[in-house]
Amino acid sequence: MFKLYSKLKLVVFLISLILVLLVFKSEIKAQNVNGSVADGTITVSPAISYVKANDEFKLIIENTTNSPFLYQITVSSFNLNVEERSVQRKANIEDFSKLFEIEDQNLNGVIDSGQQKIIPVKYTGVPSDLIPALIISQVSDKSNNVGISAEFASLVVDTTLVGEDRGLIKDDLSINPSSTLLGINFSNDYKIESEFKNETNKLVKISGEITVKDEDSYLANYAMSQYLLEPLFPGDSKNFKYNFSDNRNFLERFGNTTFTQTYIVNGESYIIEYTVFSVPTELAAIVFGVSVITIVWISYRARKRDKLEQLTGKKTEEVLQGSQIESN
Amino acid sequence: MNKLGNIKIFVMLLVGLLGIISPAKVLAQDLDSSNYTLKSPNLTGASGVVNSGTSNFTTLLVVGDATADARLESASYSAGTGFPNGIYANVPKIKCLESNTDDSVGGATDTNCEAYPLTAAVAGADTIAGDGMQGICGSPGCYDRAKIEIDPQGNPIDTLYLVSITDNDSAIEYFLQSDNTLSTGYDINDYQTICEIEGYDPRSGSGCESSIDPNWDDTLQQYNILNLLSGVTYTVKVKALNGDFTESAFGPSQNVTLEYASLVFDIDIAGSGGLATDTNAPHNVELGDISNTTVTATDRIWSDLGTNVFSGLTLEVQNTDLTNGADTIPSTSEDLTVDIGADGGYGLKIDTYTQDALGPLLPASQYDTVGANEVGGLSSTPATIFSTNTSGSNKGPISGGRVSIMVKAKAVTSTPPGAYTDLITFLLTANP
Repeated sequence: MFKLYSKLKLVVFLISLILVLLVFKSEIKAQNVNGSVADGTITVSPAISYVKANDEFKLIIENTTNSPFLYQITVSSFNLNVEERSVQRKANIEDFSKLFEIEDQNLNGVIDSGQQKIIPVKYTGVPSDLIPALIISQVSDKSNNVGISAEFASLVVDTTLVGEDRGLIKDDLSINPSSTLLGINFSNDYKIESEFKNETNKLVKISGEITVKDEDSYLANYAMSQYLLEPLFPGDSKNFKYNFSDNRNFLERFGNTTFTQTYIVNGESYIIEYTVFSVPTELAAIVFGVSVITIVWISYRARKRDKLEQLTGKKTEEVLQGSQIESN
Repeated sequence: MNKLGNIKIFVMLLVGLLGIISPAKVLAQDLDSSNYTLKSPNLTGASGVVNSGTSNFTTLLVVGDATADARLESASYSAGTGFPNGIYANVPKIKCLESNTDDSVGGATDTNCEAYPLTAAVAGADTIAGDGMQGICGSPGCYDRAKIEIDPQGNPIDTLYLVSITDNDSAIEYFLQSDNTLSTGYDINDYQTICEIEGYDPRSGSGCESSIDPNWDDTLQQYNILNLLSGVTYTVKVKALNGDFTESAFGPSQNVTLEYASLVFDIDIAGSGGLATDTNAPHNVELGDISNTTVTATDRIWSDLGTNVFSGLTLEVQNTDLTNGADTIPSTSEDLTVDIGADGGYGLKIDTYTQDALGPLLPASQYDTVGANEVGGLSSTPATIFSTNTSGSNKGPISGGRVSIMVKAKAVTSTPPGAYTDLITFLLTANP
């Protein structure tokens, strides 16, 4: 009996052991799992922020992978590589309190699969030759063999222009009517050219527009924004060309036409104006035609008068001659 | 009498001269079509601000129109009876309004738009396909522009449309201008045909059915609403105009939310066939036993890459050291088979790289080596391994980038034994 009871206990124990092993699976290391076809990624934005002191923005980290994303936020400085038109990491900045205000609780965290984290950030730095960046690092243990980790850099470009920088951003607006004479425009076609040159050692972001107006009404508007998606690197220049045709009637075209370039460089506004005095060819032709007609008419009248005078003179002579003969 | 005759002649000559040289051009003279004539472009009183700059106007009066019946209007419809309801243009709908879709037409239906441009006609015919807005702007989508396609609801090809775009953050209503930017005002020139707004209209006689048509526009087929703000949701609606006094009401509205300028990245660890493999962190590559013949890890480092930043991205790599705690296997750019320093070596070699759209991904020569065991070295200083840029015909943004990188190492007989480990870090940065 006792033997049977012992065997029974052994059997129960073995069955329990098997059940435990079946129900509680051992953990499998991630790299040994064949993943799904779904393409999960980590998205960090903004990739670049153009700010001034005390500007606030939101750092957004989105996790569409199948696993939680453990992150930590640090700050590094970057050099501008003008030749490669990129940036290069220079050094970590241990104490970044003079550059950014970020709540401590947001400096480390976990973003679950399918979730997004929005972290408020305030930039409190001053202009410098170096570009600071928020580094979002995937937390990873240096484990067996070769561990692989990812980092994202969210660049923060300070757009403050100091006094001497302003003078180093060259701008030029030229308006070239298609036909002029003695400085007066006789055409209704204009070539508008605008050029910017960055002679600072900083990235310069320019936006703006060129408007054409005639006293009260706007005639045309040319937005530069689609051509200025990239900032100007030090030494860069950008040239814009537009064609403007004034299709109003000749009376409306007579007078001043003003071309105004309004642009913003790193958040500061500038205006250049260029005024062209126009005499439409039709009006010039009318004036010319009227002048010609008037001159011709005056000449005709003068000649007629002369003839009349000549005729009158002859008659008078004849009358006088006739009188003389009579008196003789 | 002579004087009077001279004056008459003079006046006749002057009038004749004026008649010859006065231009008859009027703005917007091309508004006439075979279906209608706009004699003096006017908008109905209910359509909002009219910015004609003149005081001329016309009115259309209707007598005897039954409007007092409450059944004529509800929250979801408005029934007009009698003249001029019968001549109103059909209320248009929005076929698609997108900023961040990512699928090809006919594929998994993320995009509802029909017309994205191909860079070249296929099989001699013009066909329209694409990878959604991520194929236009890069991952994860556009941050300053969007694309709209209008459903004309039976209106003829020369019907004009006005697009209203409201910034939901500021509640300011804008209107799509003829240059595809936004303004709070509009005039008759901002009413445009589908061909003018979208650069493509498959209907016969539209003037932009195929790439040989003069008004076919590749750029408008990619995006046609500009100067939008990142992260903002816009509500868009469209109305139609088919001649004087025919302006329809606005049709049903749709929303679109713009992305931010972003970086997209992910690491997966898988073998050479891991193009579509998705693995979870933490990520490790096992080199196995490092001997005096070059060892290549069975698994590659796979990465997804994407950005919508106009100037593109740079992916750099750095490491801590392949070390057992006391000794380090050196990492320099060299052919491990040759091993000039006879001290072993360790590094990375690019295996594959591809993208769905834009870019292309440009591998750095340091890691895109020729020899089977030629590697690029690693150090604590970040080195570029991949990038995109805007030089030549390259595009900075990229969608669906996917790369694989091999890890190789070699020891020499003098290499001390031990468990050698390293941490390789990839840093993704946008180009300014």
